[in-house]
Amino acid sequence: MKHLFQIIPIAGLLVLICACNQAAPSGADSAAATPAATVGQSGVKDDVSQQNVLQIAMGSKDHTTLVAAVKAAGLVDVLVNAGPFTVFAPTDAAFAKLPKETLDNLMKPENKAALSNILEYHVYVGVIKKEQMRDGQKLNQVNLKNVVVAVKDGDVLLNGSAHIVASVPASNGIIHVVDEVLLPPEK
Amino acid sequence: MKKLVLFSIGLLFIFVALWQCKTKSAASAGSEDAAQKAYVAPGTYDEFYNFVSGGFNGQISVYGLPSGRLIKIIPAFSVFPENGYGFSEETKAMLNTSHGWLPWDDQHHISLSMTNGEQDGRWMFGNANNTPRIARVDLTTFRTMEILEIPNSAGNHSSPFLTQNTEYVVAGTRFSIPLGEKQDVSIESYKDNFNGTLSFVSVNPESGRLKLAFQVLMPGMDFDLARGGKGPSADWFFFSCYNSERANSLLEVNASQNDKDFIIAVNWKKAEEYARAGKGVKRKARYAHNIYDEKTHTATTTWEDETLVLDPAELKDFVYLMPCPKSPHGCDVDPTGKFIAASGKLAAVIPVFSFDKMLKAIADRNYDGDYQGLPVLKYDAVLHGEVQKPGLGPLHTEFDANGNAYTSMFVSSEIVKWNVQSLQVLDRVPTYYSIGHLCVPGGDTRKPWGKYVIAYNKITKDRFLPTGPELTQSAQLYDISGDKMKLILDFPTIGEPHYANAIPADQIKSKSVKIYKLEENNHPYVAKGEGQAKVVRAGNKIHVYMTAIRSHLTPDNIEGVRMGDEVYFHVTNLEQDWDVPHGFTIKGSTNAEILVMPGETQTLVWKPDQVGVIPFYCSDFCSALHQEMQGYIRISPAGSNVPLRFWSGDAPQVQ
Amino acid sequence: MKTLYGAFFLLLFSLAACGGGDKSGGNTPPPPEAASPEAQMLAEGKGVGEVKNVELKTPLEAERIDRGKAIYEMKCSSCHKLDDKKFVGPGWKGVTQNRKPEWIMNMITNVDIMLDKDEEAQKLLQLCLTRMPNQNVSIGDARDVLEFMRANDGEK
Repeated sequence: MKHLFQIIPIAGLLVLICACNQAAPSGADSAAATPAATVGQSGVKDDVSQQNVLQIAMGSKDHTTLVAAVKAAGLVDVLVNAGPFTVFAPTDAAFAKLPKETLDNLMKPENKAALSNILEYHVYVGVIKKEQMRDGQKLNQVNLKNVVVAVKDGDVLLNGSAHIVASVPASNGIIHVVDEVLLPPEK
Repeated sequence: MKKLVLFSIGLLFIFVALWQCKTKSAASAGSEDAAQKAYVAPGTYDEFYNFVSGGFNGQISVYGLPSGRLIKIIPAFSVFPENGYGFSEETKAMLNTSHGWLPWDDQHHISLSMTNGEQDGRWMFGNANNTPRIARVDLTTFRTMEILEIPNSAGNHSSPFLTQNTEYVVAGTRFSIPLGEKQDVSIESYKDNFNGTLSFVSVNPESGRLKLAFQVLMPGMDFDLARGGKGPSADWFFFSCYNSERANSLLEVNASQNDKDFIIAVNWKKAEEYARAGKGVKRKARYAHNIYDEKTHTATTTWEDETLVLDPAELKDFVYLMPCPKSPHGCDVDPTGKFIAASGKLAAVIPVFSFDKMLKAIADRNYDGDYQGLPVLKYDAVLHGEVQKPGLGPLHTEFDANGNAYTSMFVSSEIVKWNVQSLQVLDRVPTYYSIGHLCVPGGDTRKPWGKYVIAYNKITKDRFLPTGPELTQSAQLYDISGDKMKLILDFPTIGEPHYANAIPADQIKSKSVKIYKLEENNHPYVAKGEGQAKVVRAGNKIHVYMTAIRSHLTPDNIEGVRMGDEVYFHVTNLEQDWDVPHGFTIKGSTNAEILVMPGETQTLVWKPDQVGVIPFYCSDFCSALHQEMQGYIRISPAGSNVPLRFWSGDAPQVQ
Repeated sequence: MKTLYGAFFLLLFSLAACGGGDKSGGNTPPPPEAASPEAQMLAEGKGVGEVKNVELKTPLEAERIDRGKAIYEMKCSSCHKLDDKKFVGPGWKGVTQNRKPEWIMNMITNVDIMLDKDEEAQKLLQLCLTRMPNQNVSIGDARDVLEFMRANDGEK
């Protein structure tokens, strides 16, 4: 017991010296040294402005897979950017057409790059309304691969098979809801 | 009992110590560390001057780094009521153009003069993006001394970048336009009738005086940004272009059809030889050349009437195109001069071209056909490599002295650090938000100072207190001295910053002018001393030779001026002391104030609009008796025979 | 023994207590020097500045007077008149009889320090209420102004 009494003040002393040592290196962890706000643009609170493409997708009950994929790929701050973007947004039903295993694999952290590549293939920088699309037009997407547009009898087909089933204007671009996931060409 | 007391004391101390640790860690281990790096104690100077383009305010602003404190606004292409730039008789001519007198422009990029590819702290150049012009600012006075209009151009965006000894400042047109004899052509005839120009403006090594040396005629498309070569590539200049599709409408869609646009390599030494050998074609063109004379304190406009145009498709071997993915924007040469980073703003890679490979491809004639008569080099033959997956929307690249590059990513709102040799991404930090340009001190030269990178962001949103729909533009300062970039400061900026540069304060501050010497003032209406103060009538023009010194104006009482007269107040500041300007204004003035530096003369023109006694005063708080620094002018009806008299304290003199 | 521990501990605490700060002791003014050259000049009525000793010649130098007059008109006449009446600053009549030439030239070339240290200069500031500006007059030019002042005071 006697020893304990002696140890406590010594321990206290050590702590004190540590607390008062102004030369002690601080901020060894750079994240700790960064001022409070580290959230990107998606964290901006604004209930008044027109919704951006991300907010629209998040508010849609038919796009839960897409939103989950965007989050997994770390693209939430990208889609609130000034853009403007044309986003081809596959519905949950469109994702369901993919083999379940493929989708599950893509959502794994180690496949983030492959997932980003697919999602970036769904985004064009610039606003293209449906009526501006021309037969044979190539849209060079964010991942640098082309989506080929076909227009037949007023119906727009992407890569020969995906249909635009609805279009929603957003503050930073436009969303075309599509019924198939667009898969980038290998080469 | 004793034990208990001691035990309690021990516990108490531990408690106190822990409590101290807690409060300290919240303040110092976190933000205080960053704050300290950006902290410049009161009364001490910043380490760098940061010259920042003003975008749509047409001015250039000067900040101190690392504090982010705004220390000066230099008006260049827009009027500035704060000091009378563009309003005073002496400065109006600075804004003359072939389109008349223009009060505004859009100022995008600046360049600091260089000797041997290193900053020399003499001049700064700025571009006017709307009505093509280049301005030269003297860094001893922080004043715009010269503005040269660029003919055969429309939207002077790829400007005012420099060769490594400031031999030339370039001006590439953004828009192509009809350049033939016939100007009234259909817009749909773009592909047949439209051309662009890349202008080379020579800079006199002693005086800095600008002269349009020659213009390189280019196929019609859009030219974006540019950089001079350095070291081994010093004889070359590199321009980025987009819209190689040659679209004239809805470029958002139509200018993104080709997989690749170009980086244009211009051998300016060779072009210079052609120009000297008289190989160019002289064309008529009327453009303004405005020069401010520091001795007369007055700007004058000279009208130029000719340009020399070189056609590379005809003259051959000085312009080559390098294919570059998707609408390249930035086109930045690394400090060794061996690599050119081109940011395809819609691309997900950063292609880096090798200057050595380019020379070899040219020697081997390793062409991938031609574009409008200009040889296109094979992409694979000139490519050093691509930075893979750097982020989204790469725009601009600056460099440090350790072989690293820093690229701004607009779409993914970040700065990405990568190694120029290995092309590996080393680090990335978010910016808040949507970064446009970025700046490393000296990061565009052969000798980068490194230490910081500053992000100039396009979107501010929630970074500062809200101020209604229009927000301040936000900049972020990052410490790059370690392996990891570290955010240390947010600071607001004015106007809309595009490109910026920073230079060690030591290169400029000792050369800063404090006063203009009265003895050297050659203004035609100077009053060097109160004995020379007077009022002179010349027809309906009244010239007031007025002096200002703490704390009176001479003359301060004036009579005999009539309706219909035009009054020229030529105010000479007799002070010879640093930081003692005097201002001048008069009630009902339809003009801005004039702000007169020590030893300087500036003129405010005023047309009386009513009969009566009108007050005037010094509008810059100059002294304890500033409020006493005032006077009156009496305005009589037209045709009145009130004699012209003036005085200041003494008895009136009758003319 | 235990008490000793406690005392030791308290002592250390007071030493450690977020020290660092106490540097106030370093600010004590240096001991006054017996008679620094500056103090001596002030005592002799020569003011303070680079002008330590002026040799005056008679007759007056005409060229200096002309140059001095030009400088007066450009840089001084706004505030100093040639009679003995105060305008913004004191009139110049009699100044060369009342002040040492060194004082006059130091006042012209070193006005900020003079107003800081010279009692006579401070008295004038209290009287006139306007700080005399530094007009960037060189020592050579100030010598010319002095010659002009002597002429104004009737010297030949």
